[in-house]
Amino acid sequence: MKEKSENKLDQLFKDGVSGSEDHIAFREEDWESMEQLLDGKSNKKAILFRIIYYASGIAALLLLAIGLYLYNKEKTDPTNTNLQSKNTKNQLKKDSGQNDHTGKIPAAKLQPQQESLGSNNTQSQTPLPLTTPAKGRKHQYPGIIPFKGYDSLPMDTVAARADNLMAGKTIKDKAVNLATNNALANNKAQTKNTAAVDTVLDKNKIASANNGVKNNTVIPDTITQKAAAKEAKKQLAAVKASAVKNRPQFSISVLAASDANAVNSFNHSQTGTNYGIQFSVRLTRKLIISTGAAYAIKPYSASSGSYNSSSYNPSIVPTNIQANCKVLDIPLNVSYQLYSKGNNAIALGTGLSSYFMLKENYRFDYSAESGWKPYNLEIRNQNTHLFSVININANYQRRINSKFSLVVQPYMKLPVTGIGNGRVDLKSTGVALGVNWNIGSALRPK
Amino acid sequence: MGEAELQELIAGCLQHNRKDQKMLYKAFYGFSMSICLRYAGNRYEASEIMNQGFLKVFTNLQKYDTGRPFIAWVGRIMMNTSVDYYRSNLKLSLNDDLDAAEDIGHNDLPDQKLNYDDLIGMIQQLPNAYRTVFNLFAIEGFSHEEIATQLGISTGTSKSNLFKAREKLKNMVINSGRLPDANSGDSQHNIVAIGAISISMSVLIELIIK
Repeated sequence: MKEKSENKLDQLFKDGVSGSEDHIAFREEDWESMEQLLDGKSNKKAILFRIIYYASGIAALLLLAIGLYLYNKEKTDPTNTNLQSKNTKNQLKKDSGQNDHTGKIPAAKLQPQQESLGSNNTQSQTPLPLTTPAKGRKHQYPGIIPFKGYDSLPMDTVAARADNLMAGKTIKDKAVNLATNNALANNKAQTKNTAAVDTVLDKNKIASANNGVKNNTVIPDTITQKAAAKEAKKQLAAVKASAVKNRPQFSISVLAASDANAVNSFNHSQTGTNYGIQFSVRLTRKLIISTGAAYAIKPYSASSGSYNSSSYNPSIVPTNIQANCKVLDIPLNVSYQLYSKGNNAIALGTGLSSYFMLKENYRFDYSAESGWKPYNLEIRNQNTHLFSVININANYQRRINSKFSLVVQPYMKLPVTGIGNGRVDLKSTGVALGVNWNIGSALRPK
Repeated sequence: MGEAELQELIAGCLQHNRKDQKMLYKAFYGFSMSICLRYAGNRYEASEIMNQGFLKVFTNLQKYDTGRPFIAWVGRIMMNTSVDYYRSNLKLSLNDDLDAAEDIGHNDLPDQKLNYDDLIGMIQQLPNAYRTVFNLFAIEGFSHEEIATQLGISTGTSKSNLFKAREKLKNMVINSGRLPDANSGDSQHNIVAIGAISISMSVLIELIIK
């Protein structure tokens, strides 16, 4: 009975407070303080990673700069050693490796360098003149010079140390002797003086010895730096490997854009509109691949000089050509997330677009003197330009909730080949606005 | 939340994905807060404890044994964090042997239903040492021996703290029935007073006008 009655109070509270999760509303400020906690915790890690990133970036730049410097030198001075060309080749190889890691610089950029290097290689195989620059060798073995000094240094330092020891001993001896033998104050003063002189001499010796040691320590520093850079690269690779394990995240964006279309330069641009849908796959934390489809209306005006049609070639040159093209734009872009904190994310992307010209309308205007009436031309579904437009875009996303975010995407489309019937160099630049729906990996079968 | 979704969230959190961390935080917010509120003196302290608990969850996520329920693991962390939070002032207790004094009449408890906020409010009014023992014994269902080892106190202290907690809670529950009457009485007094003042004022104004 006693047990039961005691449990009544306990039971009252147990029942009252259990299943209370629904009573508690989520408070955003709690998460904010949680984020601060998490940031404080991950600060150290973040700093480490930042250092690694910067270090690898600086290393890449340095290697690139050195590589370019040596490459340029080779260009100007064809009588170079085989060693040096090998050296630069190695460095370039390293560079390309670095680029593969970061993925920022396309491999195509490196190709011409390597090709030209190949030609240099053949040049350098010719018999070498006697005036082989010593610099090349220095580059090859940067350690030689400081190490040379090393041979002579230890002797000095050892001698200096021995001197110090000896001096210290003699001072002590002298002091002891004098103190015990002569109780006179004059003598004491003398010993002090001699001791002082001795120590000054010692200090000089120590200083010189220290200098020697300092010179010596320069080499290990550079060695450790190199080791650190290697370490950084390894860690970067590891980070990447771990990121790859991440499941791909899918998202769909609906975008509308107004852009400026112009031929050759943006001086006489006309405003077009785009409606599109974009499908993105986030492969890693930083890397996003996106494709989609956009219906674009691109009006533009062109001079007759930039319009080169094979099908329409009148005897009189039109003064102006007014065009309006309906285009289906299929892009394939890769973007790299530069910044992501809280609700904001910024990414830079590039890629290629395919243009399917659905409908092209052209109006050719002629000068009043010719007496020709404006001529209209309509072409449907004749021209397709596969992967012939380069896309460059920046992407800013601001998250509204866990599923949706707002997208602002400034972009530029630069054609590689001529676009449309007139093979015009039709550039577009504009800003797309839209909503991004983050599906996550919910579509994945469970 | 489905099991697959949870596993995905956990995987995301292991990658230090802030979005997934927030989703996990949100998903277990109510559950964790309900635990911390019981152990804490107020909501502010509760959220502080909870966040420290979540920090442990996020930093020790790789140690989580996927074979066992995640919610139990989180609950355990929240409870331990709460206990740790007040560990410094857990020793407060009555030193006399209370085995005899444990018999308090509980049959005179009012039958009325008390809502969650009232009950939590009562628990939070308890001193830290009493509250912790009451939570561990009455709600989590630990024995005095388990509580004693967990808190580093003697079983006697555990028992006495539980006794004290129950006594205080009982008084609060009994008084809770009377509190509304007292309040309404006060307000009635106020109304009467205001009424009297206004009548006298109007009489005074009339007199002046005359």
